[in-house]
Amino acid sequence: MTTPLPVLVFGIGAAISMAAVMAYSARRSRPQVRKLGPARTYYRVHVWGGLLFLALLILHMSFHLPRSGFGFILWAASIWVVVTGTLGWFLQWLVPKVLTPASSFEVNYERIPEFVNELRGRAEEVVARAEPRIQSYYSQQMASELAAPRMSAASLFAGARGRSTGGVDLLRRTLSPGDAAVLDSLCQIQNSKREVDAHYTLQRVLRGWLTIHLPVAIALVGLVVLHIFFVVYF
Amino acid sequence: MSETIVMMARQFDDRWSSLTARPGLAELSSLRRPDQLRQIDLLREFDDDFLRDISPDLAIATWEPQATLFKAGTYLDVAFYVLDGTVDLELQVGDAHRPIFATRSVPLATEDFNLAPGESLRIGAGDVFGEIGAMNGWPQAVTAHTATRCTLLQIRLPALRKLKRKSKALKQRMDQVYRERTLRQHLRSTPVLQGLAPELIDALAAHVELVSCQPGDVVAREGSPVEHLILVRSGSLRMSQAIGTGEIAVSYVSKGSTVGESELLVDEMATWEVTATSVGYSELVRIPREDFLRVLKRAPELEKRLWAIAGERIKEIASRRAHLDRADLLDFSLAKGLTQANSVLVIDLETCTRCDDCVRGCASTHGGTPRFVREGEVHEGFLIARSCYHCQDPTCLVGCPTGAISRTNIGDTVAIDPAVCIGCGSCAENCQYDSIVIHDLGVTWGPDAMPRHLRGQPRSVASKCDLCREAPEGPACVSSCPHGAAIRVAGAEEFDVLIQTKRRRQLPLVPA
Amino acid sequence: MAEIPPNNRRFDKGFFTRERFAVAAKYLAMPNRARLFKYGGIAALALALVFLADAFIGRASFIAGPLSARHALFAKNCSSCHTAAHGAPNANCQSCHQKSAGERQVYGFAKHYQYRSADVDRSSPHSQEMTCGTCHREHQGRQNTLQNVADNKCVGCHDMRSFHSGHPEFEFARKKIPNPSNLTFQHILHVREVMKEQKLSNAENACLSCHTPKPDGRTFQPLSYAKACDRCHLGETESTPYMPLKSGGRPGVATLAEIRKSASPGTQWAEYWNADEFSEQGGAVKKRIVYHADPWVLYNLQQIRHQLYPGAELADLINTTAELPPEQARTLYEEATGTLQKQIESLRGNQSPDVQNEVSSLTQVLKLIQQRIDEPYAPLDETKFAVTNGDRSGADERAYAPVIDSLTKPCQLCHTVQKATIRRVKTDLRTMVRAEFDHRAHVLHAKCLDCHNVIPFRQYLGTDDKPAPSQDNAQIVNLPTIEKCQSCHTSKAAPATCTTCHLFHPDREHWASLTR
Repeated sequence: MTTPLPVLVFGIGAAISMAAVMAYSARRSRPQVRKLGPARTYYRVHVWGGLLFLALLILHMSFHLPRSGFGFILWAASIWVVVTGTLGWFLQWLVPKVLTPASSFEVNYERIPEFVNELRGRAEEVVARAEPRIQSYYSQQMASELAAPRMSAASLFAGARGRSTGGVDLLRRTLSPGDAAVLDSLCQIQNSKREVDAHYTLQRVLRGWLTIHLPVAIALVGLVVLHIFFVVYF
Repeated sequence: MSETIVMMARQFDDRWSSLTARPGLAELSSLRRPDQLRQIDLLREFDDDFLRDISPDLAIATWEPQATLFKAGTYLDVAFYVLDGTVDLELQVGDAHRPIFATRSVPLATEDFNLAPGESLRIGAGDVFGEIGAMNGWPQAVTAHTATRCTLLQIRLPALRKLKRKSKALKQRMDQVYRERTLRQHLRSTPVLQGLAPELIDALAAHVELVSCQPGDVVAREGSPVEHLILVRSGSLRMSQAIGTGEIAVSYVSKGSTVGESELLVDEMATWEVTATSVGYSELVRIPREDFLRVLKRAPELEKRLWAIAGERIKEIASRRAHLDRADLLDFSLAKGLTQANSVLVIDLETCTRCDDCVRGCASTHGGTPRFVREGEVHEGFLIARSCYHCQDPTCLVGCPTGAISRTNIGDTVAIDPAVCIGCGSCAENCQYDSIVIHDLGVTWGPDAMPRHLRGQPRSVASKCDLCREAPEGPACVSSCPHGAAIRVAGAEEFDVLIQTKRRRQLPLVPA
Repeated sequence: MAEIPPNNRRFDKGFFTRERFAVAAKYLAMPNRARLFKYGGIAALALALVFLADAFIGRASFIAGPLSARHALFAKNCSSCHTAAHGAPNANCQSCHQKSAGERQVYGFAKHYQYRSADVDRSSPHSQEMTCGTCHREHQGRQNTLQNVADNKCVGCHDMRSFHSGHPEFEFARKKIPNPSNLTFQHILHVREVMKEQKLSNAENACLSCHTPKPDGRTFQPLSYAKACDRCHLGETESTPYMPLKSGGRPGVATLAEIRKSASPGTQWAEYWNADEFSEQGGAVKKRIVYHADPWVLYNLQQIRHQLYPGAELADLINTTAELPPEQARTLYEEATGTLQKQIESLRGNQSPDVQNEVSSLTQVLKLIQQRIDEPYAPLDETKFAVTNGDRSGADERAYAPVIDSLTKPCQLCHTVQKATIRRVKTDLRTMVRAEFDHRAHVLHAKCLDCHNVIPFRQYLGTDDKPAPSQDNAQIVNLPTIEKCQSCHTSKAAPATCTTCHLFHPDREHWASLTR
């Protein structure tokens, strides 16, 4: 083979680090194989292996840019995977730290629709017994928010969460204390819903990130296999 | 009778009848009418309504000779009253299981009788046995066999509690039994009284008062005069102090510990420094002040020990008063049962990416169904997952009809044997922390299933965390988390340390 | 403050019914992730199919890089260079670049050994043959010229880092190889004479009066007497003394008439005719004009040589054919082969050991000549053609010596006469046998004497001093050492890559000099 030896060595090294990186994915979907080590190790190998892959890739290409169509696609996919991976690493560090203070309770992503339905049910129960003005205010201002979980950046910040919908203060001033208490309980329900929104937003961000990282990574694996075939065959 | 009672009776009937899995039970009848029940002298004094109320929890069983009633180490929620026949109780030499948890509270076992190891005792009609284990939730220390054909009145725990509350005479009688059989043993094995000379123990035993507490009962009130030293037999007490217009929790004691030692030692302290409240059901021993001080004069090493405990307690109280979040944590721990816990699954929410790999790991280690859910209370950014705590005094053990849920030793994990479990759900009902789940297996009971009510019904089974005891790698939840957010802590103190470490606060630790 | 947290309720206390379990089932099965794997797999498969189709059907967009301009048309046809699972073997290069690997395998690595590379590591795995692609890398872009082989390809086997670091001294200087020209010649004398005669102020022009560059300007024509020396030497200025004619057993020379009688057509002697040059006087002959390579002198010398040293015909052969082009030499060789074979045949019957010895040595010589015909560029080992003494006594030699001496007196001014032979003068001595040198590229930057400064011209020009013989003789190799070259060929000035001077693949015409 006329490939210079360093290029070949770095190429093989990059392929090996890619295989090590894939081990994390296998560990996640097959937790039975626990005797092969805790998932934490696999995660660390995945992240550092990915960075090593990038370094070896750069060396493998001898610091050149790719010169052919196929090479460009391989290279672009690799860069994309490593960059989104690094982004994901950062996100996985950041999101829990933002999400945890943003909400006083914990809810699983799959249970969120159920909770929102329950909150809405509770609100409707309260509203059913309330004064007509509260009822109309609710149906105009609050009902849409309680209809379904939604992505919103404002839900991450306590200040934005606590900000009431327009006109609440005015309405409260015109109500009797008993009705004001009813309005307050509605606002509390709304606040809870916003906290659920915070969970929904950030957990969706994490799941969405997976969408940009994983398919390209699988495609990259396939392309690398093809690349190895081409190198050997030609 | 009302429909509910009929239904409950049917359930309980099945629970009783599943005991026929044990050889030796010749006949079992439950749900007697009040007039039938009043024929038993123990129950003579009660009226019809009361008897009707407790009748589902009573049964009359006839046992063959040489039948095993229960083995040592069993958790029972039944007290036995011998109507006819004789029963042998043996204290076998236990095998040395090393507990896996460092037990922080005293391992008090139900030594119903002041037996020496290998000794056995024969009891006959009119005797009661097993009620201490039932009341306190402790494992039996003796093995009981029937010597002859016996007829026993078997009283379940709810009825037992009601009986004791209703009847002073019964309470006195049972306390008498306790005094005679077990009190000395308990006093001797209490750490603070260890090594005390037997005559001093006797002196104490003569004057103690036995108290049963409901959840929330105030045992000692801050500012009121101190008249007793309180020793906890089972359950735990929450100690609080008034601050401003409210009160904060400053300490807690569980079984084997004492309250009131500093008040007794220091002459100037005539009133309680704390308010002591029972957290759940508690059994207490109250030692009058003068008797205790008399004994104290004759036992200088006891005094030294008490001073040490008092000193520690003062430090602890001061620390908690100075840092209200420590008090808050204590309340939280008491409420969530962390003080009882031996192993709590805590998830650091500031690291957890909500990927649920922990649940997945648990599920795949246990055949596809997870043993916990990633839900629960959140405290300081830590989620206490609803996973079994392996309590020091597990309430789930009491009442299992088949013995599927068990603990091999006092310091060991609590495990459910899925082959034996019939899915009745009593352990799940008893667990205050929602840690036991019942799930369908997808098959139905055959036509020859022993619990008759279940024949043809879908089969379900209880399951809970077993700490992955068989696996050398340890709990699957911890090793499946890619970020190391799932941590197992061994109780409230370790949780405290964890919070301090992870949230990087530099507060002085509460002395353990 | 938020409402009571929802999961404080005991709504599902203890019972994980089937509906509730569906939620857990969702995050156990990770359907989202499974879906992403599926998409990724589909994408991978689609891309793979596209590129595979491209590889075997169409445009080869997976090519490793653009081809160089000269090979660009092969981009769509990978098999013109690549063989499946064998890379790009030399046979594919050969199909167009015939010279590269013909029967002589000039570009083969085995031939690279012929260039007397003593410093290469022969244990390397490439010791048999390297592929062309090892040094000439394709797929580096349109602008890439494959001929530009970088130094790092060479220094992988040769133990040096660059021209400046580790390059050995030139061989003639390192091994102090003298110039075996068999000539007596003094440069400084001649240059002074030429400058005076042609009234030159510049010594370099004097160089050019004898040393004529070849049309390509790279090297110089071989010196020939006719072009360089004839103007001043021999001719009418020289003549032989009266020499006795050959008679009976007495050594002597032959007359013109005799020679003409014995000459056969086609030989040099046959055309030579000028009786005026000869004068006879009482049994002795004198030639009035002696020319360079005078046939009469050479003929007589040959006759004497054959008398004294039988088998010397071969020396003649070498002498005459060494400077002829291969095709003409071939004729003579074939003649020689024929004669030798006849001789061997005639002697074969004789069983005496001396004769058999002679037969075996003649057979060997025949083999050598055959080799010479087959491989005209193979190194010539003249010792194999040495003239033997035969079985003549030394008396004959002594008797002939005066004749030889007077016959070759004019020759001896420059030539060495040994064993009745005028030693061959090697006029085209290639001391740089492994590298190429182009004079034309250098004359713009340096004058002749700047580099050719071993003989101290500048010291003696313009004076009448006589240089010592050791300073100025024909054995001196008047060539610069590596230091002189390194002074201009640095990495920042004149080019100093390996390929600047060295050829891995020399032309046929360079073979002669490179494979000495």
